[in-house]
This record gives sequence, C-alpha cells and structure tokens, in this order.
Amino acid sequence: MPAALTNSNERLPIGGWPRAWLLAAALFAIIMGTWEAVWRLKGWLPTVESNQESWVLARESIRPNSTVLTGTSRIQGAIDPDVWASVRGGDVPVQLAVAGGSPIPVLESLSADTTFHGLVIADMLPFYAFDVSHDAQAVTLEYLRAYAYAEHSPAKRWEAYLRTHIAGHFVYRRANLLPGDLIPALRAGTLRTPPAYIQRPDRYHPLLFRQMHIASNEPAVLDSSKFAHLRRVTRPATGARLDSLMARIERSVHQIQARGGRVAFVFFEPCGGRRPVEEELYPKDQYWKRLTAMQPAYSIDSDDYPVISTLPCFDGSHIDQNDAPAVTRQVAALVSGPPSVAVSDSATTPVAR
Amino acid sequence: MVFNSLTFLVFFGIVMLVYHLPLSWTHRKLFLLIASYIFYAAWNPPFVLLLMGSTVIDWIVAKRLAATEQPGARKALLLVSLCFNLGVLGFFKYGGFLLDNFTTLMSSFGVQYHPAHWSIVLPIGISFYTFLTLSYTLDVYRREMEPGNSFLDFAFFVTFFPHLVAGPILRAADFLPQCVQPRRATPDQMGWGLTLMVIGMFEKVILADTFLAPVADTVYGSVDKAGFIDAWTGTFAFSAQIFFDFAGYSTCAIGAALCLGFVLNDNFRFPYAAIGFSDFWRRWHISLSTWLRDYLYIPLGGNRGGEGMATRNLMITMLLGGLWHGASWRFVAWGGLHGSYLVAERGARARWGKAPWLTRAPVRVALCLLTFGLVCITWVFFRADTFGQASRLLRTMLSGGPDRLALGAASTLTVLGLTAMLLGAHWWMRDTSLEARWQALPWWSRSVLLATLLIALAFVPGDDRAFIYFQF
Repeated sequence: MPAALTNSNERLPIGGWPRAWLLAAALFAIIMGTWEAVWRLKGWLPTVESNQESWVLARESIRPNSTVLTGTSRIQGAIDPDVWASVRGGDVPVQLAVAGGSPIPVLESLSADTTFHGLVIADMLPFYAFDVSHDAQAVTLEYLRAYAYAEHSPAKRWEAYLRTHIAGHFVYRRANLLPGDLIPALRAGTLRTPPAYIQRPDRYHPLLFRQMHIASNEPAVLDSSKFAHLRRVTRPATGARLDSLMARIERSVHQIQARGGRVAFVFFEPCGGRRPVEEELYPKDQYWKRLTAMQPAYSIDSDDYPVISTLPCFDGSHIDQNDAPAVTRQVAALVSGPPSVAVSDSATTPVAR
Repeated sequence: MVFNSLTFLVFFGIVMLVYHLPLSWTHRKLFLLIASYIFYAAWNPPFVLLLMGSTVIDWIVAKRLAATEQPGARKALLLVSLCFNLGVLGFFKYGGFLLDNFTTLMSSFGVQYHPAHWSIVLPIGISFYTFLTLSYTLDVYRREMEPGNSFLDFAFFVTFFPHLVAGPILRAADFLPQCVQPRRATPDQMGWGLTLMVIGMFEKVILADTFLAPVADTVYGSVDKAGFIDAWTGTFAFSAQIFFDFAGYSTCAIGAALCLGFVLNDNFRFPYAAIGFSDFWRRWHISLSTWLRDYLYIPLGGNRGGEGMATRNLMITMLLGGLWHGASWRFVAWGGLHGSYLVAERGARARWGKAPWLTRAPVRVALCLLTFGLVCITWVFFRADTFGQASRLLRTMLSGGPDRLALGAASTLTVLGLTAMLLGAHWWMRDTSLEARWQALPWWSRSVLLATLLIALAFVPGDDRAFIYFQF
C-alpha cells in the first residue's frame, strides 16, 4: 500500500534556481580562492597530514616484491620516490617511515607477512631505534595498530586516496589552518611561521630549507648547546634490553631474507652540533656495528659516501629537497648491486675511514 | 559508501553524468541499478549477494502469490518470504543477542554453556531493505497491490542507492509507478535536490559530528565523572546529534533521489516541536513508524477491541520497534518507554482531549517541552552502552552532583545554544515546511545561505563518522 505520506516534491520551491546556484558557486569560489591565496602568499604550502590514514593507505599498497622504506623522518626526506622509480625502472617505493618512529615494528610486521619477499630499506637511526625513554616503537606501533584495525573496504581505500590526494593540493586543508586549530592559535597568538617541510600523498617528506631561506651550516643553528636537551630526552638501550632489540631485528632480517627478500640498513648520520651528541649517546661500535654484523643484504653508512656526507647541514638531521635526488640515486645504486659488495662506480665507492 | 565522503561526491558526479546521457530509459535504470550495487559493495562486496538474494526471493514469492488463489499455498509462500527475510535479519542482527540471552538463561538454571564467540559482521542497512522487501510481499499477499511487471524495476526499487542503507523505507506502491515513464529532474527538482543535499550534509557533518558528537561522546565515555550540568548537556547533545545525523541522512537521500527525478517520502517533520508522543511518531522516522503501523499495529488489531487491546498492541509495536533498532535490551527499554508514553497519552486524551485550555499557546508550548524532555531522557537508553551507564546518568540528571568532566563553558553553551535553536526552529516550522520557508527567501539570500553552508563544509577536518542509523 502507499505510505500515504507527503513529500518534498509536492512543495517544491519554484523558479530562480540557476541564478541562485550560480551566485552561490561564484561566492564559494571567490571566498575559498581568496582564503587559499592569502595563505600561499604568506608562504604556506599544501601538504598531506602525516597521519595514520596515509600510512594505512601506503601499507595496503605493499605487494610481495615491493620496495619498502621504514625508519624515521630522515629517510622520509632523503629518498625521493620519483627519482627512485626513474632509476629503478618504475619501482615505486612504499614509504612507511614515521617521524620519531622506530623501524623495528615495521620490520617485524613485514617479516611476519609470509607473502612478502621484497626489498626493505630500514633507516636504523640508533637515536630512535634504540631509545627506551620516549619509546619510538610505540609511535610506529600506533600506525601498525591503525592498519590492523582499519576497515579495509574499497570505500575506505577510495576515500583515503581521494582525501590524501585532494588535501595535497590545497593549503587551507592543512590541519593547523582549519578553524579547529586556527582560531585558538590566532587567539593565543601562537600561529607559527610555515614549517620547512611538507608531506606528499606518497608520504615523501621534502624539506624546504633553501626555499624557506634557511641557511646551511649556520653556526647559531648547529651549535652543540642547542642539542644538549637530547641528552635529557633519550635513554639508550643497553645490556639485556639492547640484546633483546638486536635479537628482534636479526630475527626479522633473517626471516625476510630467507624468503628471498632483502634488507638494507641505512644510517643517515647527523651533522653539525647534533653529531657529537648522537655519537656520544649512541656510539657506533655499540649500535651500528652490531647491526651490520647481522648480515643484512646491504649496510649503508652515509659517512662512507661523499655524495651524502658532504651535503650541506641544515638542522642537524635532514637534507634539503634539492639534495634528495643525489642521495636517492646513491642509495638506489647501492641496493641494485650485489649484496654487501661495494660497486666500482666512483660515486658509490666507500671513502676510507 | 557514505554521503559525507569524497568518494560519494565522485560517485554521484559520475552517476549524474551518465544518467543524463541520451540513453534509453531501460539502460538508464540498469545503470542506476549497477551503480547502486557498487554503492553497496564499496562497503563489503560479498554482502551484495544477500541483497540480491532478498530481491530475487521476494520477486518470485510475490509473482507466485499473485498467481495463486489457494489460501494455504498463499500462506506458505508468505511464510517463505518471512522466513527468509526475518531469518537473515535474525541471523546477522540478533544471532549474538539470542545466544547471549540463551547462555544467561542457562546459567540461571545452573547450566554452564560456553558457545563459540559470535563474530558476524552486520550487513549495512539490512533492517531497512528487509522491511522494504517485506512490505512488498505483504502488500501483494493482502492483494493491496499487483506485483510489478519488470524485475529490473523491482531490483532497482530495492537497491536504489539514496535509500538503500538508512532509508527512508520505501513502499513499492509509491516507487514502482515512478519507474514506468522515463524521468529526468526538472530544473526545480535539480535545484532543490542539490540544496537538500547541502542542507543534509551540513546537519550531519557540521552540527552533528563537529559540535554535538564530541560532547555526547565525552559525557557517555565518562558517566561516572558527569555531574548535573554535564549529564544534561550530554543528553541534550545526543538528542540534537541523533536528529541532525539521521534527518541529515534522510534529507541527503531525498535530495539525491530528486536530482535523478525520483520522489522519496518525507522521513522527518520537525519532531522536536511535537506536542505529545503520537505527534512525535508522526514526525520522527516517519517511514518506520508508518511501516510499523501498517504492517504490525493494525494487523495486530490496532485500537479495535477496546482499551486493553489497544494498549497491548501499542506496547508490542513499540517494543518490537525498539528491538528493530538494535540487538540489545536497551533498545527494547527505549521502545517500551515510548510505548508507555503513548499509552499514557491515550489515557490523558480520553480524559482531557477536548478541554479548551489544551489549545492555548502556553499550554501547547509546555506540552511540547514536556514531550521533548521525556524524549531526551529516553534517548539515554538508546545512547548508553549498558543499563548501568544509563541508570547512573539518569540518577545524575535527577539528583545532581559535582561536574568533574571539565566539558568547559564553551562546549556546554554551544550544546545548550544549539538545542535552543533546534527547538526554536522546529517550533517555527511546525505547521509549515522547509520548502515554504525557502520559497519565501529572496533569490540572492538563498545563494548566500548555500555558499555559507558549502564553505562551512569545505572546512570540515574530514573525520568521516558513520551515520548512527547505519548500525541498524
């Protein structure tokens, strides 16, 4: 039987719709366009938020033979995926590194994935991989948990893809420029200058030091005393705790490599005043050397390659986006060669230490 | 796929584009059918088979019902449809609930029964499309309508994406005739359809999700810390949230259908301006309340057979209506409370229904506020996770206590302000319609209003909260 109910069509507002919608669309475009332009003129650039959604999307895209990057913001800014794909015949790397995160949970997750037999390039920065104070592992585990509990439906995937790619084109979509964050920041006068980094939808994290006119090798910035606080915030793993972490890494490496996969450890050395602090807290012999002894397919210490070690120093940790292509080519060349053997090309010859 | 997503925006854009290509009417309906299956499959592809199964079974049953005269055979056919539809609903929606209750019952007799953990995913919108197909079979069984001639039309009626996952619950007699002649939206339908979609989205994304849901979540997440003001704020927040959430969805659905030239019935009519509970149920989730009236309350006997029978039928209808919302005794309690309000109202009407003072404005306002207050209190059972949580919150609402939640004056004032505006707007619109109010606006102010709503939507952070009624 009919529901015998009323409907909107019986009461339809009549007339004037084209002009009403045209004016509404024009007002919307003008106001949003102006808002977008204002922030761009102030130096803000569009970015994708470094959130779990883009990480889950990246994790879902891993295929059995993918190249996966994991670790910290250093590798997020150092490996340019476009350059990587161009030098490695279209092999687009999946970026799973997390700022301030540890590579260990991702290594373990990939080793547990029995279908995976690709290449893992792990940025094994000891400062995060072996810090037991602020628990960088917890940071990464949050992302893995998000992946485990995410609704892996087509709709969720499409939505994450669209959201990630659309946000990457509009400055006003930056989280700190949306009303929820912007209004309190403006009230408190705490809206900062635009940060010197952005994140692309593929989770590449270009650092814009030169574009933002941040000088390289600036003594005031790279003064050791600026990094003294690192001593207070980090507690290096030692003894049994360190042995346990090393054992977990070794087990993961062996499992991945036993399936035909390869693992490359990369150590992007700090520079400037940060370097002596990190070296003191995490001596190479105690951390990096133990990692290389696990016999991953490749061990890459940036100090061994002048292409990387001679780059200008900006904030003590990261390289500028203009330097990323050279670093990317260097690392790509190294992992394209036979495992653990230095290639003959001069650009990739380790320097004497 | 949800309306408040970019995926839907792209999907709807493609649907509109293809639908308005110069194709035959059959091809356009076929396209809408396929698009609707994609819309549903985007959430969980295998459950499309369930939807198809329900469509095919009810199509066949209705055809056979129309061709059969023998009462026994007709009853058997109806039973097939009821068993399939209610069986599927029972298995997916109530299986775990029944098992839990059976286990509790057994343990009360001292029998320790430990069944395997019930982990069945509830197919989205199953309660809606099950009721929709059931109404079709029941109508054909009662010879109130002839079965459709086109399977494509019937499948399209069941699957049409605007109503598929959260209603309004359509009736075949309302929708199938719309499938006969080619349809395209007129400029007025298109303009108003798009406007409804923007309004619905604003209700859902801005009002429900951005302003109200965080407050309701905070209060219901820490009931023990909530004091008198917190408890009432949380209750008002949820009362407004569920309206904006569900009415927002219905508004979007009606708008999306209108953009394609199809007409769906009203599902909400300013319910918080209701004077009494029979009035409330004529304004809230109208497609469900009329379904329950036509296919449950009246077949049970309605108000024929005296006060006692009417009370019994009302209570059965409302208890089952509550259970329809979810597999939990809390929903049954919610329905039971509404049933008892309706019964009490019947008694009051019998006694004072013709009293002249009832028509006075202050009395009407007072009765409206009383209805709203009781509806709000009843929502506590709907929103709380357990009876314990509901009773703690209700105790705090009635007896008070120190506010330790630190909701903040801004949140409290926002919720109270929005609730007051909602009540005011519903009262203002009570005897008119949104369309009439819109028509009265100068054309340029409609543009300004639309642009404002669109800009607000453009600034939404993008946490895609699902619609509350999706879980039903």
